Amino acid sequence: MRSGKKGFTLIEMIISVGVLAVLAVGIIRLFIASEVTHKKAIDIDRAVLETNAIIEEFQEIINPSEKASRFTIYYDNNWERSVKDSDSMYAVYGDIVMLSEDQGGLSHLDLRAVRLKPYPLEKSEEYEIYNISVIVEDMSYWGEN
Amino acid sequence: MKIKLRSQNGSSTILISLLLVTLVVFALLSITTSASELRLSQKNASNNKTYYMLDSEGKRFLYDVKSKINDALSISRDRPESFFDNLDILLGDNIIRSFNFDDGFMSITIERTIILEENSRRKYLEIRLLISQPASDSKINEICSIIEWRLWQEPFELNNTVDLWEGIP
Amino acid sequence: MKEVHSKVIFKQNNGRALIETLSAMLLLILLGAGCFSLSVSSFGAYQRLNDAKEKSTELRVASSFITTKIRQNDITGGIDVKPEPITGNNALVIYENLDGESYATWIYYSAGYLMEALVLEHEEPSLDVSQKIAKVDDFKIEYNLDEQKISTTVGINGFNSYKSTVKVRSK
Repeated sequence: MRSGKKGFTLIEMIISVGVLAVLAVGIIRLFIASEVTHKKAIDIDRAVLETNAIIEEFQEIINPSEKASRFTIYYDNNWERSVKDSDSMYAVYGDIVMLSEDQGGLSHLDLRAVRLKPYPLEKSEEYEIYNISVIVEDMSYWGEN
Repeated sequence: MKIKLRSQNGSSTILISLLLVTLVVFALLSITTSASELRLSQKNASNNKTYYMLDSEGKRFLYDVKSKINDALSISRDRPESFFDNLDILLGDNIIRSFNFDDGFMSITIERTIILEENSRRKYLEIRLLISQPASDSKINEICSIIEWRLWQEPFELNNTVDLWEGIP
Repeated sequence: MKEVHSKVIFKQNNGRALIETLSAMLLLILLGAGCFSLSVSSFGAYQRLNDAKEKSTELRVASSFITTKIRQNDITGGIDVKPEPITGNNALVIYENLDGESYATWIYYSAGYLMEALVLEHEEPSLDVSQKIAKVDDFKIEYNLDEQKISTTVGINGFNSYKSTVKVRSK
């Protein structure tokens, strides 16, 4: 004879919470990935603004390739310029080279904006956010007729 | 006597599965939102690069003109009145120009349009330079001044036509 | 006989006791509360992300709008920065000739929005003829005539501030 005992099984609850815990790990990774993607989007915007500012500074520079052939500008987490230290989060690497001997008044300016520390859940250090190459004019080149 | 225990209608399983559906929906919404934002950022960055590509080509053209001005100045050092004639010869046929005469002073306006085609859309950089009469001690940057350095692109046209047979716009 | 009776009273009735039912309900309530708080948290996370995305979009639109307007009107006498009559703050003014008439496009900040107004050159802009471009909290623009550089700052309080510099190529 069956006693017909009906009871609430704890096992069912434990199993369902266990399944939730396992699947929630994947879902939380999705949330983290969306936050990282959002951060990357903002970093691209900031990198564009900062590199534009550098390019515009070079627009009427005198003797650019002699002034600084290679330079690095460091930024903190809020994209404020800072010195190179452990808090530096971003850097813009600049490279300026005279175009050719025939075109001594023109220089090639290469800018690379990178993130120095990896994004959450990512391994790559020095992640390149944005790069741009432009030609700048040396305003002192035509100084003498 | 056999004792059988039965679960209470699987309520916790239903609850957990509903919760999982909710979490997955919000997670997918978040990732879609972020992905669209990243695409917009990248598009903005790409437009910016396009401008500077046009700008760089403009700089090459400007340099070319200035070097011709420099050559014209060297040739017409002894005869300054022949500056514009010499410059006209040096500019050749490829550079569009017009001669102006204002208040007894002569000048040349040079025009150039640089075109860049990207994703079947064209972007233009219109350049106009004014070459004015050089004085005895004029620098090249004073003789050649930029009147126009304008970016423009074709207006966006929505193409919502559908090929009746192929079914693709 | 009495002992048997007392045993009967405490014996499980139909396989359930009150304490067992209560503890099962309590566990179920706890589980339900946990699930509810988890779904509220996930909604909060999505909401926060969406707000941040909207704010960064507004800043991007405002900043690139100004920069593009300057680049598209880089012509002698085409660009100016001067106080606009509505708020007295600096505004970007673009002068252009359309069908023989001289027009001025005023880009200024008013009441939480970056606004654009197209009026005749001698007219002053007003809110009636203005269009909203982007929702920002702060907009500053300055024109350094010596260096021919226009510096723009757009910002949203508590979020971010974008600063851009454009050198006007034309004299």
